[in-house]
Amino acid sequence: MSFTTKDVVLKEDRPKTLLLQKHSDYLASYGLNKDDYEYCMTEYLRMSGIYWSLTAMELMGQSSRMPKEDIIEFITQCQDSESGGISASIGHDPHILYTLSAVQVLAMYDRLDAVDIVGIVRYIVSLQQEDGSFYGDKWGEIDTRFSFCAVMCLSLLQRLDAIDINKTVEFVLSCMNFDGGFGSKPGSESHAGLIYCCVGTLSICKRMDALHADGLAWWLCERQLPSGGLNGRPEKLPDLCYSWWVMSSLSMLNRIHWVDKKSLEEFILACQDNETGGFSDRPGDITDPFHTLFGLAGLSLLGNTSIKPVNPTYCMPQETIDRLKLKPQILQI
Amino acid sequence: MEEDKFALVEKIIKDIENVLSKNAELYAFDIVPVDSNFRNKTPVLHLENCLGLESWCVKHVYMYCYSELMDKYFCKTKRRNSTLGSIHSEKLGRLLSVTLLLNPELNTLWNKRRDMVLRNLLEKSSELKLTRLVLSRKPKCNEAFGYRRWLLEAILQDENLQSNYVQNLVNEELHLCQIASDKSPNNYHSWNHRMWLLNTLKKITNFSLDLLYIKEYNFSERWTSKHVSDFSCFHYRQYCIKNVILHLNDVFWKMFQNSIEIDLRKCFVNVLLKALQNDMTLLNTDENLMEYSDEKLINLLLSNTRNCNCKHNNVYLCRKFEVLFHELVLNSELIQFYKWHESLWYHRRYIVHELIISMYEYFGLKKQNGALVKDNCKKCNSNDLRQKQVKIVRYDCNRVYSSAIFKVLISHERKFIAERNGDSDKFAERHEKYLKFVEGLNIVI
Repeated sequence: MSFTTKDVVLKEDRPKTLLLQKHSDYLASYGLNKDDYEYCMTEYLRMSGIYWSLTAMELMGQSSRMPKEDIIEFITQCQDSESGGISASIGHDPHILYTLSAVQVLAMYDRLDAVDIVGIVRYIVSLQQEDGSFYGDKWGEIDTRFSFCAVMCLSLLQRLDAIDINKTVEFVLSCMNFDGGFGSKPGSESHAGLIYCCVGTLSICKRMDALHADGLAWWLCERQLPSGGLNGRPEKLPDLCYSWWVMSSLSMLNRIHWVDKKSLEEFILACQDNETGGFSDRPGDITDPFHTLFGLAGLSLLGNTSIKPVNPTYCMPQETIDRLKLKPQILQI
Repeated sequence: MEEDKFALVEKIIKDIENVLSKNAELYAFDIVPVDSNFRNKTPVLHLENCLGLESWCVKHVYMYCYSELMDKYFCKTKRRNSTLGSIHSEKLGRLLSVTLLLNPELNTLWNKRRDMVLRNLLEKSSELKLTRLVLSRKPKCNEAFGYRRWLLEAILQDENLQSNYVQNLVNEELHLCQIASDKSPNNYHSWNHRMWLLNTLKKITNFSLDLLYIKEYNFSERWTSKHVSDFSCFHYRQYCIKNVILHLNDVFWKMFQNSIEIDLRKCFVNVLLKALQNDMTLLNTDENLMEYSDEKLINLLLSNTRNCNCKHNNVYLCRKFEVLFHELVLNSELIQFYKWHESLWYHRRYIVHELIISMYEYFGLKKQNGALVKDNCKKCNSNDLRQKQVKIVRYDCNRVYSSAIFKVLISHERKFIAERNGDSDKFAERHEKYLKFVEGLNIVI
C-alpha cells in the first residue's frame, strides 16, 4: 500500500509561458453557435458566462473583441420589470447571482444607466432576511454567496446604504468555524470559495477586523499541494479556480506571501491548453471561460505584468474599481 | 425527416413519463452509453426499479424539450399569469421532468415546478420521488437538494402530522443523504442537507430529537472510521458531537451511555493515568478515579477556584471531557492506522480546540485576536473590572496552564506527536506547529 497526497504531477511538456493570444481567440469565438447542445445546457448561467469572458478579456486588454452593444441589449432584456432582478438568460427567473454578474458587466462597460437601478436595489433589499442573511431569489435558499452578491452589487451601484450592513456582517460572522474559515450557512464546513465570499463581504463592509486572520490564513495556505496548485478543502484535488479564491482571500488578508508563488504560477500555466486556448481546472482537462478568468486573475495577483491588475475583492479590473472610487478594505498588519 | 425526429422524441418522452408514473418504487436514473440506435428499439430502459436512457438520443431529447419549454412556457410575452389548462399542465410537467433528469441545474425549471405545487398541479410526494431520481445520477446537485428542502418545509409546516409519518420522512431523507455521500466523497451538499434536516426538526415542537442525536452520533462514528479522507463527514461528526455536548442532562446521558459500547469514564481515566504515568503527584491522589463523582473529578482536575461565585455545572463539564477525550482516543487510533490523511489531523485540531476552549471558559477566559482575555461570566456577568486586567489575565492563564487536565492534554499531544513524527507524511510536525502558533500554546508545548 502506498501513501500519497491527492494531487497531480506536472508533465515536462506542459505550457510554461502565458499564451495570451490563444486565450483571447478562444474567448472571442466561444459560444458563437447558439443552437449548440452545449450552449443550451449552459444557458442557465449565461449571464455569469458573459462576466467571466468579459473580465478575462478586460484583464488582457482585449475587451473590444466582445460584442458590447449586443451584450448590453441582452442584459436589459434579462431584467424582470416586476421584481427588478436580472436572470441568467431571457425567459429564465431572476436571481441574485445573475443580477450581480450583469451589474459587474455594466460597471466594466460604464453603462449602469442601461438598466433600472432602482429596480435592482429594490430586488436586493427584498431578499434580506431578519437575521441579516440573503435569499438567492424569492424561493428562499440562504447562502453566504448571496450575502456577498448583495453587498458587491449594491456597492457597485453606490447604494450600500439600502440594506442593514450590521446585520449582514453579523450573519456572515455567524458562519465562521473554529478554524477561522466559513461555510455556506451557520455550521457549514469551511470551503475556500465561500471563504472568499465571506472575506469579500467583510472587505466591502470594512469589517476585516472581525476575522481570525492568522488562523484563517494558516488554513488557506495549507490548501497548497506539492504540485503548486491549490485545493478548496482538505484532501481534495487541486483546481485552478482555487488559485483565485484562496489567493484573493489571502490578498485581502494581506498575507499572499504565505504561499509558494513560483510553484503556483507553474501550476496555473500548466492548466492552459496550447491548442484550443483557455484554461481548465487541472492540466490536460477541457478548457472553459470560468477557469480561464480565474487563471488569468490568479496570475495577475501573483504579479504577472502582461495582465492588468485585478481587484481581489471584486474580481474585476482595478481600473474599474478606481473609476467607481470604491475602496474595499485590505487588512493592515 | 425533422418531423420523424420530433415524433420519435415525443414517443421517448411519453415512454419516460410512463415509467415515472407507473413505478412508484423507482430509485435510480442514469444515461446508458449506447452509440447509435442500432436495435431500433425504444431507448428508454426500465429494469428493477431503475430508469435508463440510451445516450444516443440524449441530445435530441434535451434540445427538443428545452426549446419547447422556452418557446411555449417561459417566453416573457406569452402566457404570463395565464391559467394552465390541465392538458397543458400535464404536457408541461412531462417536459420539465425529462429536461430536469437530463440537466438538473436548471433552477428556473425547478421554480416552475414549485409554482405548480402551489397551484396543486403537482403532488409533493411525487416531487420527492423525482428529485430522488435526479440525485441518484447527480448526487452533488444542490438545486435538487434545495427543491427538497422547499418541499419538506412545506410538508412539515402542517401541525397535524402523525409522528410516524414524520419519522418515515426523516428516515428516508437520512437514507437519501447517505447514498449521495457514498456516491460522491466530500459531498458538501449532502452533508449540509443532513444538518439542515436536523436543524429543521428542532423547530417542530412535538418531535423529540434526543434519540436522533444519539443515532447520528453513532452513525457518524461508523461512517468516519470508513471514510478517513472525507473531511465533510468529519465536519458532520463535529456537528453530532456538539449536539451531544449541548444535551448533557441525566436522562440524555443515560440513554447516550447505553447506546455506545464503550465505558466513557474508563476511557477518560485511562488517558489521565497514561498521561500522568511519570508524575502522579499532579493528581495528588491515590484513590480510584473510576469511583469519583463527576463533581469531585472536575475539582481534582481543574482545582476548585473560579472568578465568581456562580455554580459551574461540573457534572456537565465532566461529561463533556469524557466525550471529547473519547473522540481524541478514537482519532489517535485512526491516525495510527491510516497515514497520509489530512482530514484526520484536521479533526484532531477540532477536538483539541474544543477541550482547550472548555478549560478557558471554566477559568473565565476567552481568546481574542490571538491573546487570552477575561470573559464575562455568562451567568452573573461579573467582569472584575475593578482589578487590573493584565495582571489578572496572567494569573488566570497560569491557573489554566497549571491545572491537571491542561497538563494531561498537553502531555498527551506531545507524546502523540513524538510517536507519529516517524511517519513520512509530516502531519505530526504540522500539528505541533498548529498548536503552537494557531492555538497559541507555544509557551507550553
